[in-house]
Amino acid sequence: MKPRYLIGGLIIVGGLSYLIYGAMQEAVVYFVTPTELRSETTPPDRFLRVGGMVLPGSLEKDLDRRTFRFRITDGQESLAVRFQGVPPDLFSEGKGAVVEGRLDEDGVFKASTVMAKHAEEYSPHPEGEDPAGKRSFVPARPAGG
Amino acid sequence: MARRILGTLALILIVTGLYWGLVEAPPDARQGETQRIMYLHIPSILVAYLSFFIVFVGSCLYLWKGERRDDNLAHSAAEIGVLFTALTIVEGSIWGKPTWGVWWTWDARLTLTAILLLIFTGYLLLRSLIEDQRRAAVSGAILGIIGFLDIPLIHMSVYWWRTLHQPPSILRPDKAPWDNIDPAMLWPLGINFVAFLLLFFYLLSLRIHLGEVEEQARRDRLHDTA
Amino acid sequence: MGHWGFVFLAYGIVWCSILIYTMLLKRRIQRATAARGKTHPAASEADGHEA
Repeated sequence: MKPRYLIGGLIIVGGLSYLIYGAMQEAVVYFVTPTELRSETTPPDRFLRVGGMVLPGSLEKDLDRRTFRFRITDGQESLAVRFQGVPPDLFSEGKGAVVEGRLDEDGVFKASTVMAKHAEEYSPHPEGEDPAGKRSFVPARPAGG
Repeated sequence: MARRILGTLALILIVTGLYWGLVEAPPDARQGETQRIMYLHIPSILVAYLSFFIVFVGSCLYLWKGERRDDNLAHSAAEIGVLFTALTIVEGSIWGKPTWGVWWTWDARLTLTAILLLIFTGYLLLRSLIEDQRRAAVSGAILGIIGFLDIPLIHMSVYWWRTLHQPPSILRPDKAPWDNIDPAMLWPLGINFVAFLLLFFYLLSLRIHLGEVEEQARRDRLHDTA
Repeated sequence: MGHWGFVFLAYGIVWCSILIYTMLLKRRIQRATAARGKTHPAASEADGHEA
């Protein structure tokens, strides 16, 4: 192989690695946990992503003002979050969520975006519990099936 | 002739897959109807992985033996891989909006998949820009091999880093697919996967044929001018 | 909570794109074969018109 191909190849490798490195800088620390947030002094007004579970029993909805208050927990610490908007379908207590936004001076996290984390599990509604009233898949079990 | 049979079979499976995915499969207990996008999303990315694996093998063979045939294989697979990677991202995005709440987010898996698309779009661009056939083939092969290395990263990203994207449902050593996916949904997924696989081989054979015709035309021109 | 709109959007984009790509591929083959046929009429007969 001629050396100039090798040099060309190295330049491509170098350039791409640099690009990937840059892009992954943010992606690797996609979110911090409430515990990590507590352990370091985060300047207010810094854009953050915080991830964890929506603490069961903490969700308060003010539907008139479309405001949601809840706590995000990692099992140890928890963080109070306020969000104005429409959360995604899968957002609910006891489920994973990632919030984007900034910490207020009063320690409440003002979320501009709320994302629901989805588990890699797929199943139909249990029989007779089809809220949409659509036909439930689980068919009348054929004999021997 | 063989290609025509392959195409017909793919078409039959695609129609069957559409019926199973849109009609026969039940809506998901948590996601509702949106989950049906999974029947496109998982087959698309698996076919894209397969494409770039073929690019990897073809590129290695070309660098080793220097045969045009292997380069044509790699180049053809790359083009189809780019199509299916782009489709995977579009499907994921449309699924993500109602499920996660966002069309896009820069988590490790999504970022690495965007990089995969970038690398192989660059691959196609590079090849179309370099006039000299041999040089285009060699640079393509090097980039194709490097680009393939992104795939293990994409796959492991959900284990190594915190991501919004969930862990895999199918390609994982610790659990069987039916532990995560109800049989009523695994069947439609399987049918769609076979449909995408047949479609992939049909498109690949068409694209390889195109490469061969172009190669012959090039040789004719050289012959005429000589 | 139907969300059929998202489902049809995704299915529509995917199958339209694949159809367009397939048609473009066939047209590229036809053109390449025809271009070759101009200089080598015999050769274009030999390789596939099946596409």
